[in-house]
Amino acid sequence: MTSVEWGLPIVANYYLAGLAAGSYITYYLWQGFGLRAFRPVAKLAWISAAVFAVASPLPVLAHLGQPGRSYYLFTSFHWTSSLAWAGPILVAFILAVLLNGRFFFYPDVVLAYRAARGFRRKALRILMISKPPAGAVPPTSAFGLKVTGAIAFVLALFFGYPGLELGILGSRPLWANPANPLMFLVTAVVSGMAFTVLLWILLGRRASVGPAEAEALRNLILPASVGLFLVMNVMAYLTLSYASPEVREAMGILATGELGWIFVGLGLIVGALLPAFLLTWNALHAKPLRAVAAVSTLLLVVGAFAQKYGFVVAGQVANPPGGQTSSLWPTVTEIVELAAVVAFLYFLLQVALWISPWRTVTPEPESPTEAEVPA
Amino acid sequence: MEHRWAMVIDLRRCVGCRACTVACKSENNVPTGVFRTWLRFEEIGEYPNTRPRFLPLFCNHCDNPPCVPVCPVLATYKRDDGLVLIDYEKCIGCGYCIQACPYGARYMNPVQRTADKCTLCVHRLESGQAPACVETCIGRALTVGDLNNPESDVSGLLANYPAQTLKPEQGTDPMFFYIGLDGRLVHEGEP
Repeated sequence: MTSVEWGLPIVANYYLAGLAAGSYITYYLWQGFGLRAFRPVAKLAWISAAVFAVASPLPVLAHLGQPGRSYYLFTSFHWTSSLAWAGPILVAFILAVLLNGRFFFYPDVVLAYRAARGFRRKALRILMISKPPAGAVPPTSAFGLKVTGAIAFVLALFFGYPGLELGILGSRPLWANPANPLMFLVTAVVSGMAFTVLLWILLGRRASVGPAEAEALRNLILPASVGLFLVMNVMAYLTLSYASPEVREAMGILATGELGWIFVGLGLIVGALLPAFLLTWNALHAKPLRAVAAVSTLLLVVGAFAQKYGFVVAGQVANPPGGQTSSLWPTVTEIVELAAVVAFLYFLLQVALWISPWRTVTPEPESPTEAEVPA
Repeated sequence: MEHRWAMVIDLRRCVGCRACTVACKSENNVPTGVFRTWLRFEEIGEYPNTRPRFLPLFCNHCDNPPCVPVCPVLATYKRDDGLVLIDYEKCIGCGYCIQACPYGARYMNPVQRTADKCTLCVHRLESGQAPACVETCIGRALTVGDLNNPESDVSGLLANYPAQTLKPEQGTDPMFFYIGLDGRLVHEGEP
């Protein structure tokens, strides 16, 4: 028995794109909106956004029947297809994020460039784009930082488009939900923010929780986003439970059927409800614990994938191609391909962390506006 | 005047032999495990008073095909004669059209690695022959013809018998018409 047409690779693409958008929005909460709680994670959030954005198309390329023709997405662009917009939006997002990083990291990159040797020095020189300055490090362009940041932020909001891709298909009643783009965006914010916080905790060296860390761990934006994610899911699936027989069949599979444990169990209860409770408890605690935040964010990262997998796969139960029943579970090939993508992601993240000066090199300004004042 | 191809499936004549499925596979070299034409079997009534119902299924070559606007590379297109076809040299195999088809008529061809479906045997139509499924149907349940020609067999059948299409609520305006279609079969999934 073959797997459903849009299985693990497509879910992985949606998930990675969501991680990219969510990480960037997390970064922008500090850089754009000046929320101090996100200052400690801002650099890692930017790096995560760039890495996930670059890696997100890989699962789809592996899934395409004719990956060698993928450039047709640009040369034979069909504007009525929401899928056709995925390529240009992703490319524009990657360019805007990379340009924004040039402005955001500029003072750190200059100092790191001066101290670096070998390949890292060459890589930092490329990241700098302009000629390395001599003497005192000039301030970054506030205009460039603002404009590229805002453009990338708007493009990140467009990352709800996988929800649109699925939502416009009247042939798939489970997917045909106008709230899908918003639900995908909320899932993206939850998973991206959770991953960034998890990465920040894992890379943190200090044993005790400092004031800045405590402020980050006490922030309620992440648990509130998880709450919104849960409310939207419950409302959507309660409504769908009263829809057509095709939808009810898919709902049965998601709620109590073959995908019940992954969608409800892992996706909504263990991967959302439990971490929302833990994060809220941690935030209200006098001394927030990093271990609790780490476990909660790990559960969120896993839960978001599980929820997405259940939703995408169950939507294909009705009208199977050629009347053939397909397996709801991935094939060995799909698992191996995903493992390769994850390995590449790990490599890419390690390279990005090695090259970029993500640990504070220069004293951080108190707020983004101070960075705009010329020295 | 341009042809407007359509098919009429008279379910009163279908015996469920699946000869259409086999003929299609043979004519179009359809790989193992996938089908351009297939048959849905249902048992209706309450035991012991049950009887079988057969529903041959194909690409409906819709007048308003949902698979065409979603194709990101313009590989799926609708011709003036109503046939919805795929440019196999252009298809990237993303599978979006497969998801968009409410009839499950499309599949990923495991050999050529592109989307695939019934072409109404366009190569045979263009040489004046009937599609393989029509040619082989032992009950003469399948009739293909030109809707623009009032003298054609399909026009005659549609003028004389009430016919229905599958899933009219999808707004796809299929060009495959069924005579004797049980209401239960119109909307797939209804109990």
